[in-house]
Amino acid sequence: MSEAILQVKGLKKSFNGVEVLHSVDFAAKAGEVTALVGENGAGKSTLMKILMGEYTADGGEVLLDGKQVQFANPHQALMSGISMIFQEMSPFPELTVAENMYIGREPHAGCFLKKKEQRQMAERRLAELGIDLDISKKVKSLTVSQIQLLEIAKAVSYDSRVVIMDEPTSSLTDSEVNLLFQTIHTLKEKNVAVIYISHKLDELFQIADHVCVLRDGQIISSRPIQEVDRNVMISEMVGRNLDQIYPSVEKEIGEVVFQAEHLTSKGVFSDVSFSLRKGEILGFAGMVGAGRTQVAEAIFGVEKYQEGTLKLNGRTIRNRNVREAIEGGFAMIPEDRARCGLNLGGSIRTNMCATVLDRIGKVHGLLANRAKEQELTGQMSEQMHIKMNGQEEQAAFLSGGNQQKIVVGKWLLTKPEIVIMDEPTRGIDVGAKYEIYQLIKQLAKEGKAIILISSEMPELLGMCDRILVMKDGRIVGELSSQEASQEKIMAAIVNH
Amino acid sequence: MEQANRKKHRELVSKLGIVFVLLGLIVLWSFLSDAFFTTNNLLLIIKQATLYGILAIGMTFVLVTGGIDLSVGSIVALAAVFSAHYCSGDYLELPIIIPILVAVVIGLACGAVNGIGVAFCGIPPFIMTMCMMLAARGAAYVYTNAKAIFNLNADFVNIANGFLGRTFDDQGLVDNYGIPYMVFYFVIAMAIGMVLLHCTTYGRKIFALGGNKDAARYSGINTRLIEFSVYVISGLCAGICGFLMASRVSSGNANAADGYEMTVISACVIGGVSLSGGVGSMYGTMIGVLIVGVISNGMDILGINTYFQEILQAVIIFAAVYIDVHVNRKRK
Repeated sequence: MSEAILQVKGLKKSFNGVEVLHSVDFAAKAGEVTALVGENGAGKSTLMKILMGEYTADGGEVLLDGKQVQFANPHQALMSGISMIFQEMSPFPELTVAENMYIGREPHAGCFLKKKEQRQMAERRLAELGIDLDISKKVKSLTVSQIQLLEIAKAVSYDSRVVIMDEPTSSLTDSEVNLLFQTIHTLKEKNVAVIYISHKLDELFQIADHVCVLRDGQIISSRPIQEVDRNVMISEMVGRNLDQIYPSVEKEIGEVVFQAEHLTSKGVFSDVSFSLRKGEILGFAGMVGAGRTQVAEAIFGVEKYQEGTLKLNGRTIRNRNVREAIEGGFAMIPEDRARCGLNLGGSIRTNMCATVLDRIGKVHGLLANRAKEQELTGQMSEQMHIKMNGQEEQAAFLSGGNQQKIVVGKWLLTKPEIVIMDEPTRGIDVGAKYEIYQLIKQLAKEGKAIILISSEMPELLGMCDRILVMKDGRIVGELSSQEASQEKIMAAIVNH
Repeated sequence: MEQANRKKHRELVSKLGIVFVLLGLIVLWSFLSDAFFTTNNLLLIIKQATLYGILAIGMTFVLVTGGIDLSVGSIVALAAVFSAHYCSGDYLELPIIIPILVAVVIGLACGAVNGIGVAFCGIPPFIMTMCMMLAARGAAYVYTNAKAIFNLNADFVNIANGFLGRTFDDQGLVDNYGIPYMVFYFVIAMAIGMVLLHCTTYGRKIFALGGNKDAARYSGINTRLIEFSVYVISGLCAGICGFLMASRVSSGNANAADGYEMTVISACVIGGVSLSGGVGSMYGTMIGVLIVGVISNGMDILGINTYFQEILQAVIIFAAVYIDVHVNRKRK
């Protein structure tokens, strides 16, 4: 057994008098992957931000190689050998791979850059880690997973001995995840301590050596992966027993409400046809970039389509813009919560009511109806179990799960008949996930038709009545819930 | 609950913070000069601040969407020379509603062009309104041949220079100062601006758009129309200021309102309107305008050299915003 490189003892932190970390003990060992799991709001981010020097702890100590350290800012942490790869990465899109790796510390002679040397250094680093990347490519042309690998290489190039990864696989496909795991293995061989934060429990069994469960600012359990039982871990995370993740609800599937026929958008997707019934949950499976989101956006009036027809209850509709779609009873929970779902600077109330301003307004929808806004926000927050300090709290200060609940809530306020959900559980914790699953089933039970786009196959298999598989902008397979399996979905993707 | 109260308390303090700056300035000037804190002078401050105030209302709408309008000063000048033209010379006897309408229509038209450029053609607001700034100023010079238009209709001049309830004694001297009409314009315009921004669904949509344009679009808000409309509002405000300007100085000058856009933007920023959009209030803008007005009036009374005034103004604006950023908006 190797020594712990990084040790945290009795760490405490409060915000506005509320203690969010109660005496946390935690250690990461060299050459091991230590997983940190817990619901959103459990204190993972706060803990990591203290390690990275963004926050100062109120009590306790952080030991690096047995010596007490306290970083004033992330740069100091980086220079001492701790680096973090963030959930939302922020590289410089207009710069090349090599320039991104050495940003702020470019090799130079006097005031001149030594570009050739920089390229060589970058190439050497990537080769060491077995990462296949063209160093002269601009970062904006890379995929999410390639950017992630770049960030890892960058972290290693600082000779980091502790690398923290926050939800690294949240937007990766299965093959990309494998690539990431290979790189993590290389890191382990280089005796780096990896702290791995994830909501995807399946992954932990593949990659982690040690698992710590954090709940309500306390470490609930800490044990080697061999001793971890999946169900025990889940109940430790949420603080209660979960019989099963996907709720089963008795529901009836009614007549067809919506049809898409030969929907085509040049260069994006083509000849997409499907129908959707009342009370049905229709899944869309496929790789990232298969065109699923684009089809959803076309139906919802966000993007244009050139050919094809949409039919609502047998009547042809156009959905030229979002307002038409909303009037027709459509709702869409977008994939990118921060970009398309929420006004992060706005309050919970303004976010919640953005979809129904005209409907609840007084005098033909001209005057804003603050009382009604407050009433609806109150009702919906209660229904969705949103944890908040009042309706005027800024959305940015809520956890991912609670933010997602606002997005779902603002759409339920429009009383939709057809709900399109694009990756509705991305980046949120198990507890919130379970609540969203229950909600989806409940909506279906009430007779609403649901389109569920997800990159997590178990989620599709557990939730959907029928699954369509998309690849390169086309529907390449259709599976009923009885016949569907991960293998069959993969087969449909691979064989076309 | 206690936490919520404390939060409310803190919000109140930060909201009032800017009022303290205003009161502090008033107290400071009052100590420095006896002539400052008199009813007449306070009314005069509002009168002087009215043009900035009306422009700032339009500017607030634009800034909250995350845009900027650099053209307001030039639109004022263009509207001013046109309205002066239509109430002087051959047109001296026209009813004064004509020059007023001319100014308003010019303002609306310039604003609409800005709006089309930004919302429908995707030109960045800074560039679009800078082009309008150059074009409108140029048009004003071309129209007047760079000569001022004098001898305006007396009723027209009275719009901005008249007083309500002014009385004279036997010798023809002012007995009762009265309230300048401009004060009413200021109050009415602010009231309309406040209602429109804070009490209508339209105002809510402006904040939603400024906070996150994509999310607003996904929420079914017609982002293009809203974005277009704020430039029209700003243009309308500039048009109104155009005839008020011509009336106040009893002439139409192509170089009128030069540099007003910067004063107006700084007044908004002092009042807490964020240049990145989504944040701001009409109340804050009003206080910001009054702060700018009090600063310049106070310096005039103290007889501070005009050029030196500009330097001092820069320092005070910097200080006000610095205090706002570092004292009021500390992270949690």
